[in-house]
Amino acid sequence: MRIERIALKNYRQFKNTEVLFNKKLESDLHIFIGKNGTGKTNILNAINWCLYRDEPHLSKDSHQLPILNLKCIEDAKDGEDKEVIVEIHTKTGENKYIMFKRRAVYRVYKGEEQPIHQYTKFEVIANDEKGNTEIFEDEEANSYVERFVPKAIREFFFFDGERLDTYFRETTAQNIRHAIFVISQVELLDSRVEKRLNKILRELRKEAGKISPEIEETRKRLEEEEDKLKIIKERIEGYKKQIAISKTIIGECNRKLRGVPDVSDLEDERLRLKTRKKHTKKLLDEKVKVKQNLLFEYGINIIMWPAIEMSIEKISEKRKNKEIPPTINKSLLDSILKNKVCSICGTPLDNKTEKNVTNLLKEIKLSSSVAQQLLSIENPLYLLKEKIKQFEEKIKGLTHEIINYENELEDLEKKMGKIDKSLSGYNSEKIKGLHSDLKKFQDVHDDSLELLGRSKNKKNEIKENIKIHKKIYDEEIKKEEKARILRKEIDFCGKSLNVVEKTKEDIMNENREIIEAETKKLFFKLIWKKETFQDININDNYDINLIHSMGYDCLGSIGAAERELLALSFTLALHTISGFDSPILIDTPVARVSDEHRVNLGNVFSEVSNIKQMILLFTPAEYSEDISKLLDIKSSNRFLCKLLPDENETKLEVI
Amino acid sequence: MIDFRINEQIIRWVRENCKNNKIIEEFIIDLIYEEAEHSIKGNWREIYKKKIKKYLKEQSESDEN
Repeated sequence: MRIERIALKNYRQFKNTEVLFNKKLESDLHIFIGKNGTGKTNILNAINWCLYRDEPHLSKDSHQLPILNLKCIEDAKDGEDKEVIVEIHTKTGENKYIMFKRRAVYRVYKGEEQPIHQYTKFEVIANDEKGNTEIFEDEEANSYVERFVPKAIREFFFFDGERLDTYFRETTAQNIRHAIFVISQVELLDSRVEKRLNKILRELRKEAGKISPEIEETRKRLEEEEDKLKIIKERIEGYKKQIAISKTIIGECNRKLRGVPDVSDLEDERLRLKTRKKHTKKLLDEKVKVKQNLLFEYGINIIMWPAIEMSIEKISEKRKNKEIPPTINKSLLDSILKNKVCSICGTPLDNKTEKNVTNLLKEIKLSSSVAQQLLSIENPLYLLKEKIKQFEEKIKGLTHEIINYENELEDLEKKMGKIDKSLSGYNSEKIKGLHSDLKKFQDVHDDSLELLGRSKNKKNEIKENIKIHKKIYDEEIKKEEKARILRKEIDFCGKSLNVVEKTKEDIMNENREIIEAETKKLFFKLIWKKETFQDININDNYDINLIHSMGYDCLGSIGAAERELLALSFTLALHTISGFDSPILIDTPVARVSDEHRVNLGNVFSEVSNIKQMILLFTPAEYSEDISKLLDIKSSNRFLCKLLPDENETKLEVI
Repeated sequence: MIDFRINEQIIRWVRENCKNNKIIEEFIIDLIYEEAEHSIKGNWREIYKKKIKKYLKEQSESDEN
C-alpha cells in the first residue's frame, strides 16, 4: 500500500494544501525540506491525526496552539464553525483505492483563545477495481485502519529519526521482544484468547469442584501450582526487564565514560601514593639522621686517622726491626751494673762481663716501658682502624639508601603530578557518580542474571508439578459420572490453551529468526564498512549482538550512522514479517549523524526507496550539498516548506 | 463487514500445532477471528462458552461417525 495523495485543510500551518506523491519508475522517494517551525513535522502529525486521532510528534510550541489553522481562526466570524480536514488517499497492491478522512469541526468565538471543538468524524472510503464503493464510519473506519497500519505498530512506520538513533541504546532486548510481540499479533492470542480461555477453564473446574470434595481438593492443589507458575513467569519477566534496564544504563555509563579517567581509582591511587610518599620521607629522614650520628660518632676518629695510621706504621716498623717486643730488660742490666753482681745467678761481675753488659745496655735504644706502651696501644689502634673501615662501609650503605629514597620520592612526585594532570578539567563528582552507577548496575545485571537462571529452573519444576496435579485431577474427575460433560469441556479448554501457548512460542521464535536473518541481510547489503562487521544475532533473550570482524560484540561502541542503519534494517525486517506493506516516513532522518556519514545513510535511503515508498522530512541543514547531490536525482518529489510572512500559514513549493 | 487482516502466520502455527485435532484448530481460529473482527468485550464469557459447547458437540458427532 502506498500513499498517493494527502490533502490538508486548516490543519495547523496548512490552510489548503495538497501533496501528490507521484512515483518514479525505479524509486519511490519523497522529500520535504523545511526549517524548524515551518510545519515539516506536522506532515507526520497530520498522518497520525487522520489515522489515529493523535499527534505524537507535536513540538512544545505547537502544543499551545489550536489544531485549527490560525489564519482560518482570524478570518472566521464570531460563532462561525470551521473545519479541519486531513485526507490520506492510498492505493493497495490489489489496485484498491482507499481514502482515510478525518474531519473535526470547531466553533470560533472572537476573544476566546481556543476554538471550541464541536465534533469529529472519521470515515474510510474504499473503491475496488470494478468501481464498487464501500464507506465505513467512525468505529468501523477505525477498525479499517488496522488493516492499513495497526496503531500498535505505527511506531515502525511513521517515526522520528531520533528513534532510529536511540532504538538500540535503550532497553534493547525489551524493545525487540515488544516489537516482535506486537507486529506478530501475538498480543491477540496472549491478552485475549489465552487469558479468556484460562478464565473459562478455571470457572469450569470450580463448577466441577462442587460435585465432590475430592475434585475440589485436587483442583485447589492444581491451581495453587498454576498460580505459582504465573508468579514465577512474572518474576522471570521482571528479571529480564532488570537485565535490559541495567544493560542500557551500563552501556550509557560506558559511553559517557569513554576516554574519561576513572576518578575514584585515580583518587585512590593518589592517596596511596601520598601515603607511600609520607612513609618514604620518614625513612629518608631516619637514614639522614643515622648518617649524621655516625659522622658525629666517628668524627674524632676520622680527624685522628692520619696519626693512627702513622702510629700503626711505626709500631710495624719497630716490630720489623725487632725493637719490640724488647728482648732484654734494661732495668735489669742497670741493676747488675750498679751492684756489680748478676741479679739472676748472684755471681760478681768481672771486668770483661761488666764491659759486655755495658755494651749490651748501649745497644738497647728504647726503654722497656716505651716498648710496653707501644705494645699496649697496638691492638686498640688496629681496632680503631677496623672500626673506621666499617664506618666507611656503613656510610656508603647509608648514602646508597638515602639516594634510593630520594629517587623514590621523585618518582612518587612525578606519578602524583600525572594523576593531578589527568584529573584536571573533569567533574570528578559526576564521574564518580557514573562509576558508582556502573558498578551498581553491573551488580544488578549479574544478580538478575543469576536469579533468572534459578527462576527458569523453578519454572520447569513447577511445570512438572502441574503435570502431576493435572493427572491426579483428571483421575478424580473421571470417577464422577455427574462431571462427565464438565470434564469434556475442561479437557477441551485445556487442550486449546496448550495449542495457544505453543503457537505463541512458535511464532515468537520463528519471527525472531526471520528478523535476525532479514536484519542481517539488509544491514550487510547497505553497510558502507564492508570489512568491519562479521555477524548479527538475536539470542533467546532478544538481545541483539553486532559482531565485529575481530569477534566481539560492538553494538555499544558503533557510531550514530551505523546504529541508525541497524535500526532501519531491523525496522524493515519487521515490515517483512508484519505483512503490512505500508510506507515508511522518517522525520529528521540524519540529524544525529555526522556529516561524513550522512551520504552513507543517503545511499541507504536511496536503496530502500527501490523497494518501498519512503517519505523523508529534512531540515535544510540536514539536506546538505552532498545529500542533495545524491537524492535530488533519485527522488520523485521534493517539496520546500515555506512559512508565509504572517507566520500563520505554510506553503509547499515543489522544487 | 471489514475483513480484518489476521497475520497468516498465526493461522499457520495454530494448524501446525493442531495436527491431530481439527476441531480444536477450528475452535481457536474461530476465537481469533471473533476477537479480531468484533473486539468482543462484555459478553465474551457467553461467546466463549457457546463456542466450546458448539465445537464439543461437533467433536462428539465426529467421534460417533
